[in-house]
Amino acid sequence: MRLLAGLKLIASTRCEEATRLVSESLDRDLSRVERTALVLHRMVCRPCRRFMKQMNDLHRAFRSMPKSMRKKLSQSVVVRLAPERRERIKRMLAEASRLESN
Amino acid sequence: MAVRPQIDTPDQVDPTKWVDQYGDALLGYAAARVGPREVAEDLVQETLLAAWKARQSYDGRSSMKTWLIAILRRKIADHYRQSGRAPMSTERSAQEAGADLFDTRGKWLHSPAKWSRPPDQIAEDAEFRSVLTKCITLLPVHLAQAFHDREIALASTEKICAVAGISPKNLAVRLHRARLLLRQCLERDWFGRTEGRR
Repeated sequence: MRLLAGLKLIASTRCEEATRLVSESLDRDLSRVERTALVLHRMVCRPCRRFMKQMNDLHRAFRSMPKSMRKKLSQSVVVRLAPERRERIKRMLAEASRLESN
Repeated sequence: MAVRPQIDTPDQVDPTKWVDQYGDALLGYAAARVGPREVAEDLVQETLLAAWKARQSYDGRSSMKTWLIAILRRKIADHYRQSGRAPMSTERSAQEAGADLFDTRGKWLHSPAKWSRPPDQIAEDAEFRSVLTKCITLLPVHLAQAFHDREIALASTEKICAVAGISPKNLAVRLHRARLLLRQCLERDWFGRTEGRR
């Protein structure tokens, strides 16, 4: 049964699935079947070969970044409240607290 | 952060300070659980207003942040109940993962271009870093967060899943999607452009 599922994955791997495997290979070890599927697809698909190289290069580049740089980049992309929203919430809270003190 | 003493004397509490102190942390929590940024920000807003109304019930036994997160968690549950949608599911996001990038048979709609130079010099190139920053912040919030945690903060997948309260499968879908979109953005705004300039 597992062999069958494996063969199915290998036979049916298209670009979308291949990019998923490339992405997951950066986060975990792929299974043998997954590796085979990826290798076979890569042999016949130039766009996916490019994709894989670009992702691997980016991944490595992130990892070799100096710590200070990493921290700075982290601060600039971390999820933050938009300034307008920040002000709006402050206004609403100020209003709520003013109403109550009256 | 010790904010307990203020809570005992509500008259002295300035709730607007909560926004700067906890706003981003709450948004991060909400963003990992609901998709659109607008909705996540609405939930943070509702949470802080509800916290202000309920401030007498804060007993100081847990940290202020934990207390606020507990309120936010209820708001998120309400949100999903009211909208009649299931909480962000693996299945739904899996369908979205490559929806606009691949055709129905899973082939590239636009084949990736050859990048004019490998991105191995992120550290040395300030201009590239600023494009990279822009491209990351253009991602939907939950994808930006997953990507940041994994590639910039270098967190383990186990840790990211635990903090965001999502399954490994779900995280894999987010990272896949994030990488596809980021690649597209970098190609458009950096690698494509660089090639044209030379």
